[in-house]
Amino acid sequence: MISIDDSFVDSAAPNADAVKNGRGLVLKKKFVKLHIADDETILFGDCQGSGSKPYQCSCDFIRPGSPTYRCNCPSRQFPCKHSIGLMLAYVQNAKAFSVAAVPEDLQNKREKVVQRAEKKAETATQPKQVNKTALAKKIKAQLEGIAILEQLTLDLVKIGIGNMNAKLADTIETRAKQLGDTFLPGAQSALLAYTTLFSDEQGRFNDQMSNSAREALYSDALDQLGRLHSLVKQGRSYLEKRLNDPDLAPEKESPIAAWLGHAWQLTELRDAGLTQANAELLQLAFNSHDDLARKEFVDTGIWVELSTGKIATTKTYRPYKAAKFIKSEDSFFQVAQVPTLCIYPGDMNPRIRWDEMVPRPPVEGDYKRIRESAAVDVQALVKSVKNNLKGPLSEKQPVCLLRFKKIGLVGDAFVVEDKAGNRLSMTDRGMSEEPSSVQLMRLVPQDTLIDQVLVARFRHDLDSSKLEVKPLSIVTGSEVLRLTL
Amino acid sequence: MSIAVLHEVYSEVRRLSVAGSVVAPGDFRLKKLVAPLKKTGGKAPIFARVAEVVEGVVGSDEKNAAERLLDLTSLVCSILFTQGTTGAEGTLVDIVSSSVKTTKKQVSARMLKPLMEALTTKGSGRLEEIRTAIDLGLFSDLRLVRPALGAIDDVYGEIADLIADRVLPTYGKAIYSELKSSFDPKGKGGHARRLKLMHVIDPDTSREVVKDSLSTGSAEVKIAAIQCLGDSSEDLSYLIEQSKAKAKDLRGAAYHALCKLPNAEALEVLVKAIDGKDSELVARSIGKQKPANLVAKSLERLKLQIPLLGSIKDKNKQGDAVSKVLDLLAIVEHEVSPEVEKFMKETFESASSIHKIKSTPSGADIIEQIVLVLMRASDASTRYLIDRRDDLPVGLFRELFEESLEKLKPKELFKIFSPYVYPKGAKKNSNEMQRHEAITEELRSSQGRYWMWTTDTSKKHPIDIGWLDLAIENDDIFTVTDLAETKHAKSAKYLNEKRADKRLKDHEGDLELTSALIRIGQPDAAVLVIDKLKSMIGKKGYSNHYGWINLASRLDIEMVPRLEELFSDPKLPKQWGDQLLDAINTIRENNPQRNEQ
Repeated sequence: MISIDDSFVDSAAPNADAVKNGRGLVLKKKFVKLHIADDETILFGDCQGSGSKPYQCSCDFIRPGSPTYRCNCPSRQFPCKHSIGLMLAYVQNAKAFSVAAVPEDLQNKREKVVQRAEKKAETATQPKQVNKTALAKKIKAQLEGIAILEQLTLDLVKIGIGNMNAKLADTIETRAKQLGDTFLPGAQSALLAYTTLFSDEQGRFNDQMSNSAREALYSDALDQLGRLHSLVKQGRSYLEKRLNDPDLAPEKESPIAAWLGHAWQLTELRDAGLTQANAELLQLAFNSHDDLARKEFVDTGIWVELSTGKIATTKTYRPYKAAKFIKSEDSFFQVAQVPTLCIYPGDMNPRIRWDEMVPRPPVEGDYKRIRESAAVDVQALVKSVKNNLKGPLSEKQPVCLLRFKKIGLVGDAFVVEDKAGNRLSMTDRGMSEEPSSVQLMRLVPQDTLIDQVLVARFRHDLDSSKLEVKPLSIVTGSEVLRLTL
Repeated sequence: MSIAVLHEVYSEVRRLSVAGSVVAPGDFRLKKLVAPLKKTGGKAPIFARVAEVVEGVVGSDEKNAAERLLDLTSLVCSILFTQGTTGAEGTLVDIVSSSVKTTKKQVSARMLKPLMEALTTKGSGRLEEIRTAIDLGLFSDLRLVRPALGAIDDVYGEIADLIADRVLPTYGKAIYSELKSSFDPKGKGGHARRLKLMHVIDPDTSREVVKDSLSTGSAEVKIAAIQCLGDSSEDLSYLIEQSKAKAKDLRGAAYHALCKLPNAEALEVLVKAIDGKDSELVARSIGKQKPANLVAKSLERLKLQIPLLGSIKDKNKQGDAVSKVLDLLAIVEHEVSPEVEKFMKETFESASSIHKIKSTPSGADIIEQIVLVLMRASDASTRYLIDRRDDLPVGLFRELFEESLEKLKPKELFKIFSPYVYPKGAKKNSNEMQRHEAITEELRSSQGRYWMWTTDTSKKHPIDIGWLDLAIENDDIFTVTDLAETKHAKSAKYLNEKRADKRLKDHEGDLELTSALIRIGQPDAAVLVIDKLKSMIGKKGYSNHYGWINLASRLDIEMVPRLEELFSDPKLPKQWGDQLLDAINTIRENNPQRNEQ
């Protein structure tokens, strides 16, 4: 039985245009054949395109958690508008699909997919062969990269943050490319994050910046230099350890491997035991922003795992050059049932991934579970956040759940208060990845300001020495009211 | 833990990092902090550690200063991150939250993001995106409130107006404070919209802002403020004051508001205006209102001024007087009472003397305006004009025929107007020919025919069949194609003959003829369309395939297999394919039951 709805199709589509175009195909009745297999595991049909022969497309749900989309059109988007249109046609009128035998060539492809999945499962259980010589060579190159990063960091401190200029920014960007050549893309991004602080919206060095604006970013710049310094120290120690012991697996207790740019494979995470079985996740917030330092669009989902109440993040990186061909993520309003959730090494909000997921509609019990797992004591929550923040390479803007008694005003400042009367001020300052949300407190329904759960992003401001929160969403007994995107 | 000293260390580290680590060795201000750090270090060892690292920086040299400064940075920052202050002292008061109604199901980021961009950026295509979002009700998502508020200043006025008229009022009082805080009385369009919105959302609270704007606002804001005024005596005095303003737009806005007020003082100002130089401004400012008293006063003046027009010798002065009369007529037409109607008819009776006025504007302009007023006034006045049709300016003959088409029965219409069509021996551009063209053109358009010969039956007027007979008799092919009826055998015969006429075959009229044949249900017409399309495939040069495929969409369901056959023709140009498929789908949609069979 194929159980899909509009939101499923939306989330499967690579971008908004693909959904729009797919819907257009259905409206224009371009599907000349609509079929479903008698076991109801696959939809297939013919869609008239611009050529004389129609395109043959299909949506295979033999693995419900990981559907396979096929089409013989030349599009590089995946799934293409024809497969999306096919699903939309099914959502709109399942009766229009007549039962038919799956064409032979399609059946062969389906069998191959099953075989491939079986083979993959089989190989996943086998120990991974590591080419130790190649690994040692790579680590040596990375150590050389670390030396470059160290020198650059020291040079920047020597010159002084206040003396940053366009020429220096250019030099750093050129040198940063060397870090990419030494298998340190993470370190490269961290270095570019420093120069990006001085950039305009187009990513060019902003030489028109006012003195006050420059003054305001010095603390962040200093913090970033501190991070680079820690990255050099921890990175070198980690790499030297691995060079001396080639059998040593990537570090799983701290995020240092990811900081250096290690791209964790799902199999690696599984091998390292960084998984959770039968997880259920509800998305609390979602944003898509342009990361000038990485030269990528980043889609970030903030999720709560319903059984543990832990907050985790999904991240999809879409490099500018390939953005058109990589599926952009979207808000997800259902509960994702994940048989095997892979969790990256990390602190408060570790990154998560999965390869199979079955959606289900959220029920009131889900919101109740969120309420139960939210922190009720501001003091205790702040303590754990501070504990996290002191790590130089930790997430500096962690997201937490707080069950509050009231959100109100002290003077002009928006403040959230817990049952014991402990308070946190709200701010948008320094958190520009998401649009400002504090002023929305004046617009939300009155009942959402009393005794609900706040999804809050914390930030410590080094200049004012204040720990404040940005509201991302409010979870009530029946919904997640999103305040950002 | 006394962290004040740590903050001092941090600010010194920050200062040195901004200036460059070369100045760090031996830094006096940093060195001064070692002692207090050591003192506190006795109680809290972390301070002793900081003191040690500070000493390391102070004692560094050019080679290692940067590294030591970074060590100190990391250490101090990690301590300070654990010392952030939280909370806010003072009484926690309730937020006066809004009445913004949020949708239960929030909008996905993929839908929201382009809309946010449409509201916050520049460029083409945004208006349509916003219109669609309004129709889909997306603006009830509260995340769009602030971008929508920002769009009130959009450089593209149409977007700003759309948002101000259809989106922002739905948020109610929730946005009032935001509107007020961003309102600048000296500002331009966006601020005028803000003021009007504040007035719509909360007239009482916005009262003071409106009053202030009247005295201190920019021209655009002042006009908006005038539009916000009501009928109180205080408002009246404001309006009277503004009616004396130098700026024409301000006076116009004041007159518009005064027209709404049913009191003597307002009327006095308006009368003064129509007697003075502002008569045109008053006439333009009335809008959709029906100011009865002003109409009466204007009528009085018309009665006095029209008879005097002929006696003015100076052409310029005569032209000014005619302009004034035209302004007064424009006011009077807002409320055509029996008295006005009577006056208009009397004036029309003396049209010949008025026609003699040759100034700019002229007497002919007055007559034209009077005819137009009478035409729309009542059935009786239309009937009056029909009776006097030969005296009407020829340029208004089509308007008269259009009105008659609405008001007369088909037979009577034919009887009265048919003598004017196909005049024998009439010259081009002669009055006779102009009347003929006015009638035939109006007849053709009265049948609801549109581009690509589609028919909107709701706009089709019943007409006497005599018109069709006359058109056939006079071989008026275009009128016949538009008027042809299913049950009129003569028109089918005529059209078939014309269709067979080789001289017309590749003419544009071929398409019109075939269209008419399809409309009147001629069985062979569908085959003609298919054959025509077939003949066009593979043919070089221009061909109106678009028109013919469009015609194909009106064929009967039985023709679908023929069209599908055409569709599978490998020679069919790619750009035709989509359109032909649409045509087939249209036929299927129009014949749902037969389609299922």
